[in-house]
Amino acid sequence: MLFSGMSNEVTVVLQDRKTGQRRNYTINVNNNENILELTKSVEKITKIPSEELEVVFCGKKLSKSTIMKDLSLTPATQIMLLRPNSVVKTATTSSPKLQTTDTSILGSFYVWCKSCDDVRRGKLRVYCQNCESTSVLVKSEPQNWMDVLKSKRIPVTCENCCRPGLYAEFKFKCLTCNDLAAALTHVRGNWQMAECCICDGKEKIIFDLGCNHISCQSCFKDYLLSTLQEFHFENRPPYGFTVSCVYPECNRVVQDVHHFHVMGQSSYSEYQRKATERLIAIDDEGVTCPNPSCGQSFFWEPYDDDGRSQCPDCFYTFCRKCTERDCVCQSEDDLTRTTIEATTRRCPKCNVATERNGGCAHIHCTSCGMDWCFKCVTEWKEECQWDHWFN
Amino acid sequence: MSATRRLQKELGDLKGCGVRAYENVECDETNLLKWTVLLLPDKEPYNKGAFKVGITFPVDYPFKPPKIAFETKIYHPNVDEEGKFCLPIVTTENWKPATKTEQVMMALLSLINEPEPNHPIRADVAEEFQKDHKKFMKTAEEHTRKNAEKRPE
Repeated sequence: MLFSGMSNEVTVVLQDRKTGQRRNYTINVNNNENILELTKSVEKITKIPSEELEVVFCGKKLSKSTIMKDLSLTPATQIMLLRPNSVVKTATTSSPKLQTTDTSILGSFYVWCKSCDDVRRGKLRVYCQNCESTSVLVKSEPQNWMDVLKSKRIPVTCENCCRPGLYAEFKFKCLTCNDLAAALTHVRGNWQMAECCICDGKEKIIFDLGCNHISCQSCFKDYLLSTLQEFHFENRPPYGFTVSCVYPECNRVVQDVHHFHVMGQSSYSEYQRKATERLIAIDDEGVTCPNPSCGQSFFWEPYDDDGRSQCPDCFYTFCRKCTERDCVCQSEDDLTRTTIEATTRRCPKCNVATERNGGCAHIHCTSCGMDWCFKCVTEWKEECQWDHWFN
Repeated sequence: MSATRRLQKELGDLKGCGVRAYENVECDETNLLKWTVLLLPDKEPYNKGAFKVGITFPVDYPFKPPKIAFETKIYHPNVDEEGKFCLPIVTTENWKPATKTEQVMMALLSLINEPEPNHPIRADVAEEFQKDHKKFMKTAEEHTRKNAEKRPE
């Protein structure tokens, strides 16, 4: 749990480059104190003059005026204090990359926290990619989400393992419960207190896909649940099955499925299952187990194929064409099969049985997104439009 | 979010929008989900009359699109004999919950004013529109005079 009281114990790792020593101290700090006061407390214990100490946290040198509570500390947090030897110190201060910065990156974004089962404010923590120590200093500031979400973007120096060519590893944590959490790049604070473009409400936390068409969490959740009902998620590689912005004609999409957690656990699982089924269905070598109590989707081996597959989950063996255990592809008396064959045509791309109950011959496949002609059973062309749009 | 709150707001907005072509909107006294808009196209041959458009909102509005159809008969390449038409922004695939009824009415008005004979619902009317435009204009005008509502003063 996060400390909410006035004082807090923190672990301080002191790296003394003058003596080459490394020591840990537990220090009681007041949350309203600043970093200068922390260095004075350390001075009392270690007799190292406070002006010789540099405080490193989350990959950055902190300014002496930073207030402790802005760091969102927990008992498990480690703060590194660095005492450079004079030579290094000169080099450090002359380097423009190592200037002290404010703490604005801490706690100004949102995460999906599994433990809290909700959207929460998040905090960013920086580790050495090699030894997982927090005693790292970033050589350049992350500029955007990609810099913290992708690996090997931000180089660091690590006071613990001291290897060359190291990169930062970023982790996101829930500010409420301190557990690891997933960053939600499309969620932000409503700084301008703008209205949700669905319900006109003004909420503190909003969804914005980068186009400034904002919606509140409750409306965004309803939008997702409604999309899930008949699975209107669109396949937009590389993001997979996703939704576009709530605003008419805006094509921005949700780029990370973690946002779909706001639907609730059971709906999220349903989304995952259906999205997998669709992906398998549009793959030439994918199949869904027809056993009513199973429904597992899997890929079959094209090697030495006899048209039959066994489900890796429930071991049901079936013919992939008629989906029966005892193949009825050759028999004439299967009414269901003959009815389906007689009343439907198969999508030329994903082979899904398609019934036309009215309208024109232009079919938009809801399974794979292909536009095809019900008459020609090939891709929809201009000639179809002119020649037999309405038969 | 409740459909009621949003529909009440939209109804007020539409009534006060100041666009004569679709501001005459009435709501069923017992059912907020049923509206009738009196559409006043401003282009020949439809500017001789007014056309009633029925809008039915689903209970899960605005997450599902409204169903819209002409209640007044109209002779138009893009509207069938039952008053149905194809308007992309209210189709299930294209519907977005932030779409407002005013935007839908704007799109419908523009379809009526500028028929799209290349995407017809009534192939015969579309053919006449393109091949014998004079005849089309005459038939449509007569049809409007005979079937359409009176335009409010």
